[in-house]
This record gives sequence, structure tokens and C-alpha cells, in this order.
Amino acid sequence: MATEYTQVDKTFLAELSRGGFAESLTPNQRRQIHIDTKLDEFLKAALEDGKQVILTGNPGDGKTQHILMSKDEYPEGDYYYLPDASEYADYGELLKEWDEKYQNGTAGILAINDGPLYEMVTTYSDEYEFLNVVQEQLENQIIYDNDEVPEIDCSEIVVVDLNNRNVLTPSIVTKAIRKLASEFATQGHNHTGHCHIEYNAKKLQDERIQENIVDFLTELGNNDRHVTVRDLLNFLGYILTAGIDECQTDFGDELKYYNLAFDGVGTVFDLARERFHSPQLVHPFVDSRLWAEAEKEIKFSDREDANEVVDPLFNEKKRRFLFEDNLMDIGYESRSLYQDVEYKFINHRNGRSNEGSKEQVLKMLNGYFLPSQSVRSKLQLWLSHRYRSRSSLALVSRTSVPKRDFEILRPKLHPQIEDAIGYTPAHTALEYSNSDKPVMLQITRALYRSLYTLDANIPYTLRSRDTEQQILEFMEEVEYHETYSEESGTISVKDTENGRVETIDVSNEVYRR
Amino acid sequence: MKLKLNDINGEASEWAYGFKATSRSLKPVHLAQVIFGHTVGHVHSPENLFKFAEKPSKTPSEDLPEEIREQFEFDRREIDEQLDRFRQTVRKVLGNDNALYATQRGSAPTCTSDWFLIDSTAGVNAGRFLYHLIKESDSDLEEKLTAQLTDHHDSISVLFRPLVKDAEQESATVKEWQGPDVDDPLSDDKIATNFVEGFETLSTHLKERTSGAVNYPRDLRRVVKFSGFALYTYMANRHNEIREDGNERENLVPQLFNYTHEKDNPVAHASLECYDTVSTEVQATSRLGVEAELDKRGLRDTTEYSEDKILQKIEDHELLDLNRNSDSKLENDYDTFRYLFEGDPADDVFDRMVNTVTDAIHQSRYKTYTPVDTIQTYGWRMGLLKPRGNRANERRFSPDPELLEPILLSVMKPGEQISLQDLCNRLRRKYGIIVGGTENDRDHLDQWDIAVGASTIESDPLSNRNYEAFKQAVIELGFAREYADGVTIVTTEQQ
Repeated sequence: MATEYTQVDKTFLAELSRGGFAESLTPNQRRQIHIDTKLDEFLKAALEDGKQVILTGNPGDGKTQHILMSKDEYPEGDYYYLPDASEYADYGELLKEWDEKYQNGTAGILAINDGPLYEMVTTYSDEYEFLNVVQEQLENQIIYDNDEVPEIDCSEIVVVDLNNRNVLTPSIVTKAIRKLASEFATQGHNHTGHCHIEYNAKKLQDERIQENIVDFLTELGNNDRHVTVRDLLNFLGYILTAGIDECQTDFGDELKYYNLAFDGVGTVFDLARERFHSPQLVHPFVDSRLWAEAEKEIKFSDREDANEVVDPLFNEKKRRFLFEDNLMDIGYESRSLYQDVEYKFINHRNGRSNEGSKEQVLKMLNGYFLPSQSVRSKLQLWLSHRYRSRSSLALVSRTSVPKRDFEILRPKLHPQIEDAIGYTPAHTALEYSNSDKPVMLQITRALYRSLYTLDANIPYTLRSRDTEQQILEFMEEVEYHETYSEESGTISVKDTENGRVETIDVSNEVYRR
Repeated sequence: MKLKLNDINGEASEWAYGFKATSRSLKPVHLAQVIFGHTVGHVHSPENLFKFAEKPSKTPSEDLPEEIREQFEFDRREIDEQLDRFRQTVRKVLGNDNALYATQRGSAPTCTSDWFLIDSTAGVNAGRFLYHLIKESDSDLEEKLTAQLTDHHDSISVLFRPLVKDAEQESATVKEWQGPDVDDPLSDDKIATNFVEGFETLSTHLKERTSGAVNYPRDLRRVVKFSGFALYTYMANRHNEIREDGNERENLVPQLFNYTHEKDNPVAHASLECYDTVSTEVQATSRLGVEAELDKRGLRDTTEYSEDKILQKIEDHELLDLNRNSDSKLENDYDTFRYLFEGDPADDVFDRMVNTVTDAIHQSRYKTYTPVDTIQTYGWRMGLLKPRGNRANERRFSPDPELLEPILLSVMKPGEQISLQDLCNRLRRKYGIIVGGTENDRDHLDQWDIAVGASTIESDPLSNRNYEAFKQAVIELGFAREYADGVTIVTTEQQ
């Protein structure tokens, strides 16, 4: 049997930093660990309305926690709770039980990971009609902003897919830091002097440092990877304790939170490390200043060894600077490090002006093929056609599609569940609207970045074939829906090796310049 | 009668595969030309297009026929310079497949419509085989291809329209594929039947005509890429299908797709072994073909071909028909042949002769281009094997996404939803593709004496890293979604 935690202190915090726990907490600990989000209110309202809520997503998304929290106010028996669908070897048995409760109109919360839920709706929807409602809702969790909102029936069942929840929001992160740093980290100490946990807890209670951690984690939340509540709590537990519950009163910098933040194991740590080492976190002035300070502090005999010797100290300083910029006082704020191309994507994604965003995307796509042009009013379509496995020697274009035939779409939560969770879209889409079926190019952060950095004029043959493929497939799909004369047209041919473009008019079987 | 090694090489190939797979220059566009020509039933002779597409350094624009020059309403004072520059760039469109030569014969321009189909000489027999598979399929693939090829809305057709539109149209030399002598490859669940089914399923994913046009050349590429894969896999599996020595394997020749993107790990090594196995199998097919051909030529007759008489014919330079002008080279050729014959361990003289001829045609000195060279070269040209290029001697299976896509579309119906494991099982059973997604992968490889060795840094890189990376490749193609609890569902778009 798993250990049942009775204490709420640093020991628990150290455990927390080591992983999974929800099922083994006491009710008291559960309450203490719980971070209030809009999902709590949403669940309450749904239960009051007599609905069944299906919480789906990945392990660690907090589904079971919400069930355990709800049981206090809405007791089991009167309400139906399914804490773990994967305990059932046979979904038939589970569905029979669920159907019974559903037919009785018993409100409740069901935690079902998305894999099993998918299997249930695909295998059993003929047998249980309510699964069709579940499937319809699953397919419409995210819609595009200019779509006609698809009608979904949420009168008896509401599905909330926690895969879509952004946990790294300022509100959730701030609450989590405050809770862990002040309530847990300060209890259970019986020593003189300060230990590493107290040190870190005190730092995390500092308003400015807290703000910086929130900024940093929110920044990580803009990434496409899914972060669960458990991931966040693991991260915070670790940067407070290093996973060591015994107080270390004589500790070095390696146990300080700003180093621990890049040292642990888990999704948030991976994101933190990627971010720290990404070229986007390079700042000429901040970096040179920190490097100079590191050089001053460290002694090295040979100038050639400088990089090797100074680098670790420089990294440590930069880590600290991310969170303690005002204490280090080097004339810059850590926020200034984030002003880069990533923000261009975020601005594009959050942009209010659809027209402006659309024009910008069209300009970038046109510029991919013709770097010297900045046409925003239309999209020129290019074709690369070859049967061998090799990049194209030449591309051909004869068609432009006016910008009115495109829309920028931004994903958002379906209005029926928008009050349940916070959602940060990882992409926008350029939609060609002149066809029955949507033809879309997903503008992800990666695509946006590669299009944007083309301003640096990377020669065509050195560019990523994946990006080219993505764009050309979209263009070919659009061209399939466009009808043009097969007798005449203005045609451009781009030689990808030397960048030369030849343009010619074809008409009445004659070529003209 | 003297033996011509090159003829035996070609005829052995025909005996086993139903076509001569002995062409150094076979390229994907050659197969495209033949399949499409057979589909629409006609070809063109776009003389003007070929004159125009010649390198200006070879035929300056001032030397072009007047009727071509008249089609260009350029400033007359600079027409030659402008035309030279224009041709320099534009010829690359037709030469995108690297098969545009100075003369029309043997040349194969890239083709988006029937205007670019010519009476090509390369890859005719292999192309016919592939067309036969398409025809055998219970599908509307031919109709869809015809609609695509007779549509001229695509930018490449419009670009060359003035030069090709009025080119003489003639019937394509359409001939029924005769099949190999050895057996009927379309019987008894042999691998070719999987490709007939594959074309059937692939066809359901191709575009229909919309608003008067069907301008979607990508579908042509999908068919050609899948055809290339069919050709490769058919040839790789032929030996196991036709051998009658009781050592037939139950499973198809494995093609371990290496998604680790590395060369030095257990998966990459096993993938390399699969590549070598294909070579060994194709060479063994040639041996069976050589055996049949030598039998046909009467070499089993020990009165005429006893060991002594064979050695005597070698001595007298009467055994082989070698196209050599120099006596010393001729002597060396015969010496080599004799060493091979004398060194062969087979007891039976006829078997020794079969082994010797097989070994000889696989030696570069006799200037024979064998099916092994043909298919492995084709393998990298079509994007199945990496690295590309003539010099590499160690290649692994690492398909381009543009190749993986039609392979997946050939095993899944539109709108069908299956788990990634099921997809992997289908790929393994139908084509011998292994990515690490099924519990039978290791047994399958074992059967072919290929083991995925241990790694010092990770446990089971085949079913972990390789399978994960394959999953990502399928996700990136837009076909899969990953759910919690290890479930990944593959779906293809409903047409």
C-alpha cells in the first residue's frame, strides 16, 4: 500500500518533488495542496445543475484531485464519482455502471484518461447513446474563432479535456508558489540557523523574485508541450527542497532554487533548460556584463582555458539574474531577455487585427519564395514537381489568390467550456475559404520562426525541406480549388540554385515579357 | 554457342521478375512516363520543346528554328541574350528529375500532364509491370490518373503550352505485361497481390475532378512513389517466392525503417543488415534465373559441358562472347572466369557453372549491370534508402515523408481509424516494413537472421526510440493523434 501522508511540511514537499501522489493524500493534505482555479467553480455549478462532468486528459492533469475535493461538499452516494477508469479491465462493466447512473440522472465527475475515453466512444457508441454526445463534445473542445459555433449538447454531460488547459498561467503559478513556499516549506524545522529549504522558501516569498518566476514559467507555457498540475508542483517542490527533506544548514549554491530550476527531472525542467540554452535567451549587453563579472571572480592561468572555466560561473550568474535581477543590479531587467522573435509569434497569435496578421503571414509566405518582395494583398502559389527524392531545381508559379480568400483563424475553447479552464493556443491557421472543405496551413511557432528568420535571407537550397514541404502542400491544395485559364497566364520560374526568377506572359500560344 | 553474360543477366531477370531490371539509369520519372503513357494510351513528340530545352551552351538561341523564335515576342535587339537566359532557367523545370538529356530518345522530362509523355525507352518493362498491377486493382485509379493527366491547368503545362500543345500525338506502345516464366506472381497471396490491393486503397485517397479541373499533380507523385516502393519490395521478395529448396521463409524480407537518424546504433545496424539481405536475395534470384537460362541453353548436357570440356572452351576462348578489342583484356576476362569456376565448391558441374556465371555477372569487369545494382540505386533515387548518391556503400532504410505518405495511404481506407500498433502490423504483414511497433518485429527479423543488438545506453531502442520517432513522423504527416495511456490513433482524411 502506498504511504499515506499525514504531515503537511517540508517532508511532504520533498516527496512532492519526487512525483505522483494524489491518491495517497489525506483529505487535509488534499485541501492544502489544492490550487483553486476556475475549474472548481465550473465543477460546482455543473454538479448543482445535475450534470455529469467527464474530466479527461493525461495522468497528472488533476482529475482525481478534483474528484477528491468535490466529495466533501457533494458526497458520494448522492453523486457519482469515477476516480480512475483504468482500474476497470473491461470497459463494458464500467459503461454499464455509468449508464445506470446516467439514466438515473445522477450528477457526478468521471476521471477518464483520453486514451481509454477514445476507446470507449469508438467501440461502444452503438450500445450507449450518451457516448455519441461525449464524442461530439470531444471533437469540438477547440473551435476556430470565426467559425459558426457548433451546437453541442451539454445539458446532461459536459466533457472537459484537460489536455487543453494551460497550467503555466500567472494566476495558477502565483497561487502554487505562495502555497508551497509559505505553508509547507516553513514547517517541520528543528534546527538552529537556516537550512536550504528555508533559504529557498524565503527567496520565493520575495515579491520581485516571485514575479520573475511567474514570468519565466508563463513564458515556458507558451511552448507547445503540455504541462500538468503535477509537473508544476514537482517543479516547485524541487526548487524548494532539491528532493532532500533533511535540512542542510551548510549548503552551497547547487541547492539554491535558481540552480535547482534547471537541474531536476520533468517536463518543466526540460522546458526550462531548453529555454535557457536557446539562442533567443541571448542578450548582448546582459550576457557580456555577466560574463565580465564571472571573469573577474574566477582565476584562470591560461587565457585559452577561459571559456571552459568561466562558462559554468557565467551560467550560474545568468540563472540567478533571471530571478534576482534587481538584487544583482546590472542595469537591465530579466524581462528584457524575452524580447525576441518568440514574441512576434505571440503577438501574431494574440493579435487583435485579423487583417494585419493575415497580411503579415501572406507577406512572409510570399517572401519565402521571393525575398525581395513584400506583397501582402495576395498569396502567390508555387509548385515544385519532381518524382525523385531531391530538393527542386526550379519552382513554378502562375497563380495568385487574393487575400480576401484567406482568413487567419485562432483556436479557442468552445463557449460551453470556456469557463472551465485557461487555454493558450499553440498555433493559428491560415485558412483558404474558397472550398467546401477547409484547407489550412497551421502556423505553429516553429513555422512562424522559420518564416520570420528568412529576413536574414537564408539561401533557398539551405532551407529546411520540411518547411518547404508544408508550404508547398498547402499551396497545391489551394491551387486544386482555384480555376484559371489553361490557355494563358503570367508565369514565374524560380531557379533555386541561383535565386534568379524569370517571369513571362503566355497568351495565344506566344510568349511575351 | 558462346555465352553472352549480359544477355544471360537480362534474361535471368526476365525469367524471375517478368522484366529486365538491368538498367543503370532507371529513375522514378522513367517509371512515371511508362505508367502514365500506358494509362492514357498516347504519347507526344514535342520536338520543339526538346530543342528549346537544350542547354543554350550547346544550342545557342540564335540557332533555334525560326518557328520557335517566332513564339517569343521579345525585344528583337536582345532576343538571343534574353532567350538564352530564359531557357537556362526554364529548362530546369523539365530537368527537375535529372533525366533531361540532349536528345529526346532516352530523355524523360518531368510530367504533370500528357503533353510531357514521350515514347520513352527507359524502364519500359518494369513500368509495364507496375501498370499491370494498377490495372489488376479493382479501382478507378486509371480514370483518376487520366483525368489528372489530360488536365492542363497546372502551371507547368501552361508554361510550356505554346511549345507542346500542337506536338504530334501518337499511340503509346502499350503492351500487356507478360509476366515471368517461373510462375504467376499474382497468384497465391504473393507480394504483388498486396500491391494490387495497395493501389486499390491508394486510389480511394486521390482527388476527384472539381469545378472542371483536377489540378493536383501531387496525386501523380503519390502514385509514382508508391510504384517505386512496390517495385523495390517485389524484387526483394522474389527469391523467397520462387525458391523451391525447402528453405522458404514465412515472412516477407524485412525492411527496418531507421528513424533514429543515426548510423551507429543497434537499429541502424539492423537496418543496414536488412539492406544487405535485400541485396543477397536479389542476387539469389539472379542465380535461379541464370540456372534456368543455362538449362535452356543446354548446359546440363554433360557430353558437351563436362568439367574438362568447359575448361577446354575457356582455354580456347570459346565459352564466352566477350565484347573486347584488346587481347590482354580478353585473356584477363577468361582467367577470372576460370578462377571462379575452379574455385567454386559445388559438386555438380552444372551447379558450378551456374554459380560461376552468377558470380561473373556480379563482377564489374564484365560490364554487366545487375538487378542488385538497379534496385539499390533506384532505392535511394526514390527516397527509400539513405544516404543518397553514387558513392555511398552503406545505406539504410529511411524513407522521405513524401514516400511514407502514399505507403500509409495504401493500407488505410479514407476515414478509417486504427491504432498505431495496428498500422505497424499491417505494414509488416503486407510489405515487411518494421519500425518497432509490433511484438512480432524481432521474430520477423530473427527469421532472416537479423538481430537488433543491445545498446549500452538504452533498453530496446527499436521499440522505444525508433517506434517513438516513427510515431512522430506519422503525427507530422497529420495522420495520427497521441492519447494518454500509450494510445496513438491513426486516421486518414475522409474524401
